[in-house]
Amino acid sequence: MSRKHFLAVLIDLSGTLHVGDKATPSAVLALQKLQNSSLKLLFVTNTTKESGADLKKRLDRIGFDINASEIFSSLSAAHQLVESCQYRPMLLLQPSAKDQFPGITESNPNAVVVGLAPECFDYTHMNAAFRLIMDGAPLIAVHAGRYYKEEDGLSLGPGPFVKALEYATGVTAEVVGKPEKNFFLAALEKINCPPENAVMIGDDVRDDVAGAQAAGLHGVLVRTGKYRAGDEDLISPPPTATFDNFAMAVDWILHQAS
Amino acid sequence: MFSGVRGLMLDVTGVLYESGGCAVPGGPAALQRLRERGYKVVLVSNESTQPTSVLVDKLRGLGYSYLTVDDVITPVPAVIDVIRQRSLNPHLLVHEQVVQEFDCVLQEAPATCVVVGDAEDNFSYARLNAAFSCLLNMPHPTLFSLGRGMYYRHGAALRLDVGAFTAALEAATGVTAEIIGKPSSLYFHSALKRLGLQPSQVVMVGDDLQGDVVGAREVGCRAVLVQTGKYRAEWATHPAPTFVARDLAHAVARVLEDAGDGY
Repeated sequence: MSRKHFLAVLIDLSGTLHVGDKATPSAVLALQKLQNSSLKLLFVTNTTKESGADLKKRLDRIGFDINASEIFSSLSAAHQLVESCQYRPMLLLQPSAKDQFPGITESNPNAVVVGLAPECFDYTHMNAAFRLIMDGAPLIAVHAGRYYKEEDGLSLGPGPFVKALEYATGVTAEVVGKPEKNFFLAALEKINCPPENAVMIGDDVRDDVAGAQAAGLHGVLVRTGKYRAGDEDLISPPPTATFDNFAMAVDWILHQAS
Repeated sequence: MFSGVRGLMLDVTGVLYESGGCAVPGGPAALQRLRERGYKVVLVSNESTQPTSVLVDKLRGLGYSYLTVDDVITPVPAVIDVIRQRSLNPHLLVHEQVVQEFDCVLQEAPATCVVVGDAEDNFSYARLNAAFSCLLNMPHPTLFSLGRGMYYRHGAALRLDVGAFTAALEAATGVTAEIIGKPSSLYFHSALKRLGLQPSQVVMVGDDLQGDVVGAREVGCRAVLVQTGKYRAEWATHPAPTFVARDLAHAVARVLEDAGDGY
């Protein structure tokens, strides 16, 4: 394998840096090594409710030392899109997620942003969103997950409600989270790095690795979190490299730079 | 264009009257004229926000004074028939006003099918989630959708129709809904049976391109798209309608004219 010229590393959180409340093997030390190198770092994650501060709190508890400003989430991507297009969005989001949209005006809306907002998914709110889209407002989905696990079973995610609005309007939503190409490009814009000099490390072969590769980044798969045997064979082109865990991926990346 | 026509299937909301408003101009007189000329008429509706008897009372009050419940096909009685035939026990996500209609098939046991209608204000995250969980827990998940319209006009504004919420449940569960209502061909065939006519003898009149016009064409009927109700200008050039009429009265006049039965 020829040596890569890496300038930046994008790192998935859950399943890669940690699983639940535990760091993956040697991940705390590996992250410190990366932080002491000249590589730029960015943590990238799909979330519809947790703000950067919430995510940082969890990482702090596990022993990782990062800044909230180094986290780029699907909510950050939605915020960036709303800002760059100067939309006045109707935000179907939970209050904690709305905190990620400081300074955005919601009056007289001309766009619809759908996250996970159980208290907004009623007939009145859904009709209001539907009419805006029929009048030409774009439909932006923070991500398109179908459901998520709660203690008492599965609950509907934002995906089905995005589908409802797509079905009624004939409009296709712009999904802003991983694995969308624009998500990775927006993340790189934040750290000012060209895709060919960036590498993404993640445990999800489709959302992390294939998504990053489609955007022109290198993609490294780790065998932790949701990884299942044979995942590296599911995508074409295959991952740039596959390692047992985050720490081993970091050693390889640092070796490329040395 | 309409030679050999012996009967008509008419959509109700947006064709006979505007949702939340009054009868379309000339509507009651046009229906009366069809009756006088011996044409058979059946109203084929996807209306699931009220019992059929309430809908008929409303139509009579709007000037369609000859109508009885036997002139109307709606999805609630149709789905109850299916539930009975297949010995199912329904979990309901339907309008408050039609819940009672299901008393005759509800059992004290785990649900074996989910029925989604135009529930209007009965739609909520909690209720959709309950229907979702219910489907996940069924050995053979069965989802009935009372029509699958995208939206309809109510007063000045458009509203989400049942199809949007059906699409949400389908996306979440991977189950494909069975449609009880237009544009299901079974539903049109039950209307043809009520008329006692062949598809080639029948014209469907509706304001919904997919649900009314395309659906009726697929079973071999001719179809008129009217420019009332939810009609949208971009539909005018679609190849499916046999004819595009201003409203019900215009559609009826054109059918009678072609049959040499002019006004």
